[in-house]
Amino acid sequence: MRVPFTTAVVLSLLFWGMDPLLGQQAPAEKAPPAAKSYAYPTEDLKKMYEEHVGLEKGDGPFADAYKPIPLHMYLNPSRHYIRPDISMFADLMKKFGPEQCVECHTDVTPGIVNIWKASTHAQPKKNEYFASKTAEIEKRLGREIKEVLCSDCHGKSHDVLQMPTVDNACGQCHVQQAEELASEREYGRPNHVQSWEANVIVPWYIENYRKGEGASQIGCDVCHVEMARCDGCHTRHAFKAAEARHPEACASCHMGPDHPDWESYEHSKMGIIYHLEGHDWPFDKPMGEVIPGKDYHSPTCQYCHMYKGGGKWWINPVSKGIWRMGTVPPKEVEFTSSLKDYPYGINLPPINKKLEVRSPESIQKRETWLELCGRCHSVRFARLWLENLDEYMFEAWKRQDEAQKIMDSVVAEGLLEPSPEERACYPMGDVLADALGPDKLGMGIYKAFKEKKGHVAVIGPILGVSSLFFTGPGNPSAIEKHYAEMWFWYKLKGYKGTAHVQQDYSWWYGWAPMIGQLALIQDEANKLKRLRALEGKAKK
Amino acid sequence: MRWKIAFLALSLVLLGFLIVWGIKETRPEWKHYQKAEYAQCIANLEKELERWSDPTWGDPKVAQKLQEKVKGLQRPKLEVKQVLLKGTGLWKDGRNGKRVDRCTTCHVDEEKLSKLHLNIVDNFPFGLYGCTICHGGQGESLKLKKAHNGMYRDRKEMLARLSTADALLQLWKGFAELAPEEGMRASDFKYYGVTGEKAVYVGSAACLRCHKGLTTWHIDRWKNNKFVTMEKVKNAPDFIKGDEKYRRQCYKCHTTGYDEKTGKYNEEGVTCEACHGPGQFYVYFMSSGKVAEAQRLSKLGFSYDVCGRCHMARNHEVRASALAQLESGPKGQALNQSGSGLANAEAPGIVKTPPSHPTERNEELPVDLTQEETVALAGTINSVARKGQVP
Repeated sequence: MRVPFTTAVVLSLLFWGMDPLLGQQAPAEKAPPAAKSYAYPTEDLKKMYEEHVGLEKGDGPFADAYKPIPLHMYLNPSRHYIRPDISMFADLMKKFGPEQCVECHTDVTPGIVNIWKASTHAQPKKNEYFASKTAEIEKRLGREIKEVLCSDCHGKSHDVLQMPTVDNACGQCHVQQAEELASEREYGRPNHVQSWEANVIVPWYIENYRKGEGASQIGCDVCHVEMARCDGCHTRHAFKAAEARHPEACASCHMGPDHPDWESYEHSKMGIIYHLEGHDWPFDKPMGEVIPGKDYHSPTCQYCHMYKGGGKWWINPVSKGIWRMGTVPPKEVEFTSSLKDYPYGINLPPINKKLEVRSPESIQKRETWLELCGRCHSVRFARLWLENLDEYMFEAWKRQDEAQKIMDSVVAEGLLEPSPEERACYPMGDVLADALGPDKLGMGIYKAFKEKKGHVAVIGPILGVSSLFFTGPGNPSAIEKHYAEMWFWYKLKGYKGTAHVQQDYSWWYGWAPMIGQLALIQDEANKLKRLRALEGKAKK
Repeated sequence: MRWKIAFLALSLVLLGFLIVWGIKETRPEWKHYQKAEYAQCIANLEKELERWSDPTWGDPKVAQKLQEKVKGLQRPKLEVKQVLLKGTGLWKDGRNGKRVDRCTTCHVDEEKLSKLHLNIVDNFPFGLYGCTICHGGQGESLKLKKAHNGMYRDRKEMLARLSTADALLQLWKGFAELAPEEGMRASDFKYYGVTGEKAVYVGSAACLRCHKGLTTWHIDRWKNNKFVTMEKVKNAPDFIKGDEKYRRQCYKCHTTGYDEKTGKYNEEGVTCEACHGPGQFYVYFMSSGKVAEAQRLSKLGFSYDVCGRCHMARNHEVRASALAQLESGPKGQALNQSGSGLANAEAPGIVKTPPSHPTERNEELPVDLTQEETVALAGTINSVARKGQVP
């Protein structure tokens, strides 16, 4: 069983080349593509994530290693959708034209038809603003748009229906928006447009499928696939811009222990004001025209994170990200534990280098933030607040350094019980070394994985987060779980609480449990040491 | 007898001093560090070697090269390495004054150094300005304690100096002194930040927050004119048809904060920072409540060549030839002949490969000029280019 699996992984990697797997863009094909590709700009990426394969193959570089669950037909339809057999209705379909979809579907699926009927797609010139926007699109397409029909996105025949993607549907008319979404790729992961790539590339994802637990991955799949396309925020079939300007549009994904953006914003004064008064704010207005204080009395997620600088907003909330998710060690902290060697020779972007909080690039991002904050606050206050956020994170990283140091010694002294050799190996650990090689893993990690066949203790950022996604016999142990929760949950909660000005979140949900975890780790390490000493004495 | 003993003791003491002095002379501190650094170099290379000699993933050619490299480093010649800096004393006169950086004597691993200076390794002339210009410390000393005295080790420590403008003014003055050109002033170097990295362009929005009222006339004049110059460029036929390489020639003067290496710019149009220089530090002081420090920076004035970088004669000649090409070439033909750099490869909505039938060409090119328009534009450009002005 194991051998063909390994072969499948290696072959799939060889077949598609290594670069796309590692987040680098493969050199573009010489032949010009038929249309511009937004979500997956290269042929290789398209092949891995969007090209139709039915349910025979998964997504990403490990596509051959697993078969998705049938539900994926609906999660990533452009790749996995299998049309139901409607051959019996073939004659019926011939009778009706593409403009008549609605006539049947009003009865069959009244929900989506009624939503569409009320949408701007059904009346693209319903007011002056939309008429002018539609006119722009008409000019580009060279044809008149009376309605945007089902067939415009789904295809003209029931026999070859397509599921819409950024490339084949939305981006055809909404070019600027699609380009802005695609521009996230330049800023590296984590971002929206690559969130599906990030989802299926991690070893524990494939490992869970290998164990036959594909259904458990639904918790990751839903957000990660939606974020990479338009209808994650502009939901079907209304596709409203106004909807996506509401902070709730972000909330369905940006919540929970590792990125409690919604919880921290919702309970901050900014969120409270939105909660009290937001129902009257003009969300129909484009962001660039919003007058702070008059239209919005407090900022929304979009107002701050989609600010591009120079008085412009765009559909790219990651362009000002400095700390990003908060999981990559910053260069500015002098680590004493093994964190100082991060990324340990690993050459897998984006985890191949430390974060630089004070690089010119980050300084430029910070100045753009201040330009924005200054619309309401004293810039001096805003600068101090954000510098305080940096300091908070540096301190939090120092606490993580302390914890990592304890973990280092526990692993070095072989105190883990059961030992890495005796317990379940790291997710996919038995094949990772051969699949990636020393070039991508670094000599040290490659050798460790190769020699011990994946029976290695992996702790800390970022691959150590596996202990929150995977459990095998004896793996992870309690102390590892404590540590993963410390940095992936509580540290990040405190970060978001501080960043979004929710002081209680910053302390009681963040810092306090974070240092609590540190205490647990210390305690656990002491117990392991005592146990080992007792065992030694007993043997004598 | 007593005298003899005393004399002997004294001789022994002196001999002891002599031996200690001799040892110190022949085995100076730096040799120890240099040796250790070379050893570390070899260790690193051997690690690499191991990776490249891997039977499945390695490459024997690379491995062999590494092996040779290791061999070359086995018995390194231990010597003082230094960067000679221009200054009050000249090396050729047999005296180099205090201006010499010997840091690379101990920090001898160049690869390691360039990894630590990733952001500036391509654009900072280390050979001219050395290390101490940014890092402080005593460059001429070969003793660890003395050499590292008053030193700023990393970006964090360098940035911490920004409590006043002194650090910057010192730095820029230092650059002016060390520059090979004569007559340079501190203001010519304000494109460097306190870390030796490029200073950041913050965008005109930060400036215009405050610069209203008293400075309105100046702002209004520029806002209506030079701030929007890129809008005109974007509508120019040769810009529309030009490829990225051609367009970069426009960005150079019609945007602010243009970086030739990346081809990216901070803001469209000729805005505040295009002439006044990057605003990172000025804005930092102004928005930290340190107006006096900001003022000290602003009083430095302009870099000497700030206008001349763009306002030079025949700057637009390239356009004249490009437009002439547009005019003379068969209508709609992809203008990618070398020279002007004009090509329609990346212009939006334009077919990449010209179709084979000449009759089809007209139909397939959405952006096209009439004959008259082209002639008129080319005429304007030619006359402007002759006068040496920017339209």
